[in-house]
Amino acid sequence: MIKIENLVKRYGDLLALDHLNLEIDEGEIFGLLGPNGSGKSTAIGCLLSLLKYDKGNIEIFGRKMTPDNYEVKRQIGVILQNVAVFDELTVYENIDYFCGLYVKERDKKKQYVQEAIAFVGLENYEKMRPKKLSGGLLRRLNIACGIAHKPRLIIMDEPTVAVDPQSRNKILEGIQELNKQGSTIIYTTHYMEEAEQICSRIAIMDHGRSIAIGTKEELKKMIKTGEAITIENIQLEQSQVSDIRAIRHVFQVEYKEDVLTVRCSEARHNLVRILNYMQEQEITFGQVSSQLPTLNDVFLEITGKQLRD
Amino acid sequence: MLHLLKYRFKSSLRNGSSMFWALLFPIILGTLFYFTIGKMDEADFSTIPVAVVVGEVSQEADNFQHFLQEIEESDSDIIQVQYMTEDVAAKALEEKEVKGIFYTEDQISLTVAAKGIEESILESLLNSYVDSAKMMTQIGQIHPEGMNAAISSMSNYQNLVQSVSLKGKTIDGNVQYFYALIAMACMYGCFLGFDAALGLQANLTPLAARRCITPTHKLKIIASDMFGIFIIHFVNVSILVLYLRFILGIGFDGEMGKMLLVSGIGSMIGVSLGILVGSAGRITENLKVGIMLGVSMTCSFLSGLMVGGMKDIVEKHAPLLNRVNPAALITDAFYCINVYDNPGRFYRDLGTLAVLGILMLAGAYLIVRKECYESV
Amino acid sequence: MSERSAMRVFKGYMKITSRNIGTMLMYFIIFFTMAVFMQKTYTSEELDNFAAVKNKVAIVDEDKGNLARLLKEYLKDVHHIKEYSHDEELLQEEMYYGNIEYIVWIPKDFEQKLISGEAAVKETARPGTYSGAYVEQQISGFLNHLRTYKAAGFSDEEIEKAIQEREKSIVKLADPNGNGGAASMHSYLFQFLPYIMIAALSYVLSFILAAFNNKDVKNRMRASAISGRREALESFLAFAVIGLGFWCMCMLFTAILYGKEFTGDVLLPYYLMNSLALLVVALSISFLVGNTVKDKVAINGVVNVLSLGMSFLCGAFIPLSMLSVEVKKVAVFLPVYWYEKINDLLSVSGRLSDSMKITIWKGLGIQLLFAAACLGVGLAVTKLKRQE
Repeated sequence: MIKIENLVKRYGDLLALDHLNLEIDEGEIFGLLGPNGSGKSTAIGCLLSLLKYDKGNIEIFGRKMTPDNYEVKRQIGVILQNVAVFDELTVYENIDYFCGLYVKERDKKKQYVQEAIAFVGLENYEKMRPKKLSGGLLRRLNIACGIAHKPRLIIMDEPTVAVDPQSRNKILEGIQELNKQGSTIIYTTHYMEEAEQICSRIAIMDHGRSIAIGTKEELKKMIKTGEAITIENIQLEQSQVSDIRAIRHVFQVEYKEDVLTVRCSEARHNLVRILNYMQEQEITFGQVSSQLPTLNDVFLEITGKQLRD
Repeated sequence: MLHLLKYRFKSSLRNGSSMFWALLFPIILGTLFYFTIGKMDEADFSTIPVAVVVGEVSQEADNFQHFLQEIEESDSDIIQVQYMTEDVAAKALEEKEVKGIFYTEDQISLTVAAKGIEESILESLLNSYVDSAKMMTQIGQIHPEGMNAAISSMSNYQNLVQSVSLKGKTIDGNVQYFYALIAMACMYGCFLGFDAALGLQANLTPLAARRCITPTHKLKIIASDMFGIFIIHFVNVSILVLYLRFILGIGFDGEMGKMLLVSGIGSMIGVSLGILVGSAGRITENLKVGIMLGVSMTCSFLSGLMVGGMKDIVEKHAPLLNRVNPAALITDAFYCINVYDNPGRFYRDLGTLAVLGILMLAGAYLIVRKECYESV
Repeated sequence: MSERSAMRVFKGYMKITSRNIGTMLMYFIIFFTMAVFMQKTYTSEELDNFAAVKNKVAIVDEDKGNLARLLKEYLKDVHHIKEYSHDEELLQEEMYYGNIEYIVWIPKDFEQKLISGEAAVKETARPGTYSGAYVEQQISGFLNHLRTYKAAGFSDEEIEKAIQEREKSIVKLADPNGNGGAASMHSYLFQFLPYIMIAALSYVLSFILAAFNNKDVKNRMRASAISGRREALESFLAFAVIGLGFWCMCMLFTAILYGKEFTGDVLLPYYLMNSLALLVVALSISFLVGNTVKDKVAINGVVNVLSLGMSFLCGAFIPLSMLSVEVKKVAVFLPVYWYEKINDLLSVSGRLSDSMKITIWKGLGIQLLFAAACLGVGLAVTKLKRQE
């Protein structure tokens, strides 16, 4: 459905997009995951023909994307990072305005607007102006304005930034609902938990290129880490650290400020083996946790950095 | 399109304080003008205080004092006479308690400390006395037989001057302040245009970015915004014109229709200027506002807002400025409508205004219609 | 509180100012240029507004007889005259622009009318000027004299001779300020100073204040360790620095433009004091506006009304002497009125008497009082908003 080929964009000397390649299929929730500055928003901007790009090819619904390709634009709904509504219009009027830019028939538009308000849960706020809404409610309004016209493709650029957990959950649920109703969704975020929660496929971006693409499971299989074991409040000697390093299936050990982090490749009983060693050495320790690999681990292993610093 | 316009109006009109001030401040200024300038011809002379220093007693001195007394007692209330010694008088003159000192010695003389109208009146009184006295002497010397007739004529002082007015509708030069005020109000549409620009340029606000992504042709959005704002501003300016004409009674004796036409074009220029400046690239918002203020105030100043005759001075020294300054063109067009019917000049002004308006509109459109940006 | 955090608010203001310095300079240049233009206009053109002694009189002579000639010569002596043909449109325009202030129409049957005591000439005076009545009185007086000569039996030649023998009355000019009775040039510039100061400073400072009064910034400051009083104090200091800088620029440019005439003026200290008082007034107004008005368009409207309105009402554009009594009754409550009153006094004086000095101190005091009132209101508003 959407094809981005060899996209290159520079801001002066800075290379924002470095031969980015993406393919998104109809019906999926596609996540663009990456730290701040990795080029996610720039990619979206180019995709929507808001930004000029230096090289590359962008196709949506099989057609080349240009600023005046109104047929394509009519089928896209956008929710950008910053709230983009009219301060002087009420909630209802804002949604009505934007829906009206896509849907011409009056009755249909009215119905869509009502449904959008219900969808985001703003029924009690219809007549209020944006200034009177809290951050979470504003975001909901922002979303309503973007999806009221029931677009085929919805692009969301970090829609949950600075949003309270309750609203955030509602938003994520809403996105899944929209997807169920038939919309393809491109979702950018730097919160890996969100990506893990709702995205069917994820592309991890860094420095303007996609460094890994696939489903959650595919991505996690790309890395060595099968399990990450953390032990707190532990006192170790350097020799003991080396011993732990030598345990079967352990491939990375980190010991800093009394916290031990052990990464093992996927195998059974990793934790048991390590705890046995502790017992043998009569080492005392505090809290123990074992985690399956996260996308942060994927990012970490591939780039050597954390997703969020 | 209607959909866009409807929301443009709603959005603009609800911007309470903006609307309030855009409409109200020219009206407040106009009212202030009315009270300061409009009432100026009703300003009367205040009575002029003058000191008299009596020197040696003489016939001449006596006659003159008699003369002064007559004037003081007449209805005209021009002067108020105080008799002082020389020192006291000199001090009074320096401290501006009197405007002049008459010394009644052998020769009557006047001493003043400045060159204003009041001093001129005192001088003129003295001249009148001196001339009359001289005249009597001359008649006595040359045609003594006509003395009686002369005295009879003198006591029968006639007003030999009749007031007439020129053919034009009004020559009240103070009206030009009001024309300049309307011109300034037109130019101030730039602030409305500025706000509109912010909502149209995707690299300026998120709202604009969202509007640029919609399938509505950018041209439609721009047109509806510009048109909506223009209408609002034009209504504001029209209210001002009507207020001045019908409530304050300023002498706009010409056709109201033509005046509104000129105001309309002026409004368009103001709004376009705002859009032009608002859409400009890499300068801060404060600087943009500063530029708009600077341009509109300078244009208004040069068209005679603060100093009435400024436009005329510009005409004498740099006439080209008057041909391109929109405020000057607007005031000139008003002059043609209300003061002296000069169709040729009027159409020239109107034409230039229209061209300016179209140029600015085109410039504004060219900048704003950009769909793709270097960065957002 | 450590020394470092002590001047943080002040430094903040200075930083924002430095970022906007381009805009400030632009305002200064525009307004100051306007003021210079205005000054040149007044002194070079001798606009009627300033009640020049000699008026600009147009003469349309359709008689061209001897007596008409005598009238013209008399007028030439006392006014600037220019002869025109009977072109109403041209005269209309000249009068509209103030190039002529008075038109004398001498009709064909001038002499007959004169002798028979009817209205011998027609006149058209420019409304809104004092000169109309003044010139009319002069002409009427002269014509009556002509009539009297005629009545006494003088011939045209005799009349001409008699008139030539008339002596000019003796008028002496006590010249207190060495300018021949005219106001000093820089006093004209100072007359327009209120508009420059109030408008420019209000615009600039209200934009800076708006940045500081932005809700989030304000809340952040409120949560900081700096007390409200301290914050206010430092912002005053910042204002004072900015205002003084502006004032110094104005004085500097005035000195450059007028040189010795300005710097050597005996009354220079009073000019400076007066303008400093005005500066304080302007700053206090800016403070009030910046703290109460938020919207850009609203700031614009308020500043315009205040600066233009006060300047008109109080004699910055149209001199005080030309304003009607009613207007002055209202203007008395405004600080700019007192500024102008002092300026007028200084402009034509060479030495100040005691009563003059009293007037000056009174005027300065009233300006400062007004400024204090504005400041008080501004602070009260700030406090109210804090509590919201």
